Amino acid sequence: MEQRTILIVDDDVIIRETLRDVFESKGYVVETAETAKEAMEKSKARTFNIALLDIKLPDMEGTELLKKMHSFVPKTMKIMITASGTLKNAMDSLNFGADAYLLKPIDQNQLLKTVEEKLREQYTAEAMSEDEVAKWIEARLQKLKKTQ
Amino acid sequence: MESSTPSEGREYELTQRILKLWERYKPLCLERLSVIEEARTAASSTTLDDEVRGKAESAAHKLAGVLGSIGLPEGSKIASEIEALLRPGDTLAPGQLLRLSELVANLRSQLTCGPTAHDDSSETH
Repeated sequence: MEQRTILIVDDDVIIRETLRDVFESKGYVVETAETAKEAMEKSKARTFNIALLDIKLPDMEGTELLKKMHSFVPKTMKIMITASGTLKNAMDSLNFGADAYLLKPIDQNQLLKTVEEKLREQYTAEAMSEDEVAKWIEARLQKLKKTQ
Repeated sequence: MESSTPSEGREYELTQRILKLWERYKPLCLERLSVIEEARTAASSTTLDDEVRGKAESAAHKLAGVLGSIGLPEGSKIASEIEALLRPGDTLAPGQLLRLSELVANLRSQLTCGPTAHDDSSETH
């Protein structure tokens, strides 16, 4: 089975290390970032299945980071986490491509459930794309056979 | 010898993990509490400036975000209320000051006892 990768972006060391502990205990490969800049560098260096993004970061709003990441790593499932849930940041998160929005303090069960659900969605979307490609190749082959 | 169910085993494992995390981060949480206590003291003597207030608000925000994840959900709620009181704005009214003092004392009690005495498991699974 392929390793599931997760990027945790939060400026609070306790949150980063608590979540690292939760996900590593479930077999995930975990990387963490303290700032939006570090998160972008890490996202460019490797592909993550999931990114957990805090909304309040020291160098950029988490929703801005979400927007940027959505443009260069669209397949990564992005889950927003915040201790200050407001209608504005919830709407921004949805508009900028968040796949889920969770409030702190984080319920570890709920978080694990959400992450697993998003991984299933990701897997289904990829399987569908592969299936479509396979169908297209099959159709092209049939067409070629007919022309020969 | 009694054997535990898988669910009890998971519960035990989780509790152990939370206790380890708590031991590791207790000093940092207490440091954040000290920042809030400093602001409470300054507010009591009407010397609370924007900088101290801002730092204390930020410390309360961080505690509100983390305590529930390391076995202290009640601590998170208290820290959230402190954060709301410390948001930039007017000078704290006497009633607010009293509430702030109560909350800070409750938060210290939560942090001193740690998750074993307070854990209601709502945000720690």
